[in-house]
Amino acid sequence: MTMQMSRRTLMKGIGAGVAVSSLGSLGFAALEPAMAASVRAYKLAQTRETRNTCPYCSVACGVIMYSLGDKSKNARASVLHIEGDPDHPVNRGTLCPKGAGLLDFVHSETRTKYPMHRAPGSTEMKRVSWDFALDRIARLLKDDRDKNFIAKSGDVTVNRWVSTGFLGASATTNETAYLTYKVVRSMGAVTFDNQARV
Amino acid sequence: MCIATWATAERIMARNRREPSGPGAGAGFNNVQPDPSRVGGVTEAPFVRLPDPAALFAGRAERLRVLAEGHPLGDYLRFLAGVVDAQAGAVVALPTPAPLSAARLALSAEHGMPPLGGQPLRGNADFAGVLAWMLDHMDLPGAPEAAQAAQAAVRAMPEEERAALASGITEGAYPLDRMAEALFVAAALQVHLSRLAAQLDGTAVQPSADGVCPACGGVPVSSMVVGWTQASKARYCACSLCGTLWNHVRIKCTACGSTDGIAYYTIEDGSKTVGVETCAACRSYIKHMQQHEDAGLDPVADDVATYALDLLAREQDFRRSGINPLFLTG
Repeated sequence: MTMQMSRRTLMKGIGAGVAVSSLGSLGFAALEPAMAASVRAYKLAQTRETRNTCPYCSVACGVIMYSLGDKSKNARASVLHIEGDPDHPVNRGTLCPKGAGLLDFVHSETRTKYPMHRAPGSTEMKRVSWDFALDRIARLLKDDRDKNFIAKSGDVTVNRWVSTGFLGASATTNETAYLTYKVVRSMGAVTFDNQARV
Repeated sequence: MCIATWATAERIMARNRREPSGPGAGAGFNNVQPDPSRVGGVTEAPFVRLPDPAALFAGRAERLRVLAEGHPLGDYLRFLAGVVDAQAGAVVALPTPAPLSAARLALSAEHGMPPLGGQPLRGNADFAGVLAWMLDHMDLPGAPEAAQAAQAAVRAMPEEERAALASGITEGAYPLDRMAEALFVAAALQVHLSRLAAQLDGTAVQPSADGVCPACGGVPVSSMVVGWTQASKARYCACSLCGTLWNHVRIKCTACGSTDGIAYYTIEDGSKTVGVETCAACRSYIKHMQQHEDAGLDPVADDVATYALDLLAREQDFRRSGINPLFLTG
C-alpha cells in the first residue's frame, strides 16, 4: 500500500518533510532555505477575541472584545477594541452608540472598580472593603425596614416596604434575576426595577 | 423637511399607490407579511456563498502574480499562476457540466450530506475533459524539470488512475510518491467541483458537520472574516476543493469545534490582515484572513504567500488543519 499524506497525518505531525511537500516534489526545494531564513527575524504576536454581553440594556447585544497579551505567559492582557458580534442573533454585529463606546467604558479613569463610601457629612469618596460595604448596606436596609415596614392595612395583611427601592443590573443571567427577585420581594420591597428597562 | 424633499416624497407615494412593487406586490397591502429580519436593514448572514468559477480562477491567477513580486516563494507563486490560468481557461473553454439530478439532491438533503460528495469520478466525462484540457493548455515556462515531468506523467496516466487519484484527493488523501502529479489532478478537480457547486441552490445547502464543506464535503483551505454588506465581519471557511464559502461561527475551531482556548497570531510588526487561528484543544491552526480589510485576499493564493506563518505556527507546536491542494507542506 502506498503511504498517503492525509489531513489526519498532517494534523498528527507525521508528514514526512520537504521531500513530500509540493515545493519539494515539484522541484522548488531550493526555495525552502531562503524561506526559512526570511522567517528567522519574525515573532508571532498573540491576540484574543472573547465573547461577552453588552451591559447597558435589556437587548443584551453580543460583543466581541479584542485583547492583546498572552495570558498563558503571565502577560497583562489589555482590551484593544470592542465591536458587535456578527454571529449573535440579537444584534448581528451591530451596536448602538452606547455599545460602540464600550472600550472607553472599560478604560475610563472614573470607572468604579471597588466599593466606595462617602460617609455622612464628608465630601470625598473613600475606598472600602467588600465586607464593610455589605455590612453597611445590610445595616441601613435593616434599620429602614424595621422603621417603615407596613404589615397591615386595616385588617388586611400587606407586608409591604415602600421606603427603599432596588434596581437590578441588566446583564444578569436568568438565575441571577431569579435570585434577585426572591431576595428583594421576600423582604417586602415594592419599588423594584431593572436597569434593562431604563 | 424642505419643500423639495416633501415634493419628492409625495411623488414616490403617488407612484407607489399606482404601481405596487416589492414582496407581495399585487397581493394588496393588507397581505404584506412582516419580516423582522429586515428591521434596521441587518439581514441574517447567508450560510453559503457559492463560487463563480470564471471570476474565482481568473482573480486567483492575478493575485498569485501580484504576490509573487519580491516574494521568497516568487517562483512557486508564478508557477501556480500558470496552473490557475489553465483552470480559468478550462472554465471558459469547456461546456458547463450537467447539473446534479433532482433525485440526487433530494437524497443528500434527506441524509444531511453534502450534495457533491461521494460522486464517482471514474468514467466522469466532465472531470476527464477538464483534466485533459488543462494538461494540453497549461503553459508553464521556466517550471522546474520535476514539474514538467509530473505534468507529462499525468498526461501518460490511464483514465482510471487519474480518477483514482482524484477520488483520493476528495477524501484528503495524497499519495506520497505522487505528490507532484496530485497537484495537477487536484487543480482539475477544483474546476470540476466549483462548476458543479455554482449550479446548486445556495438557499437549499444545509450544514453537514463542523469543518466540512456543505457543498462537496471538502476540508477548508483557510478562513476569512468578510466585509459583505449582508454579512459584515462574519467568518467564512473557504473550501479547498469546490471553492464554496460557508459560514462558521467566529472564535470556534474549524477543525474540532472547540470554543475554548482559541487564540490569534499575526507576525509582530508585520501585516495584520492574515494571521492564524489556533485551537488549544486540538493543537491545530488555520490561516485566518481579514478580507474586510483587504478585499484582494484570496483564500488559496494568500495561504501560499503567508508560508512564513506556517513555519512560525509549527514552532509553537500547532499542526495545520487546512489543506491547500496547490501547496501541501510536509
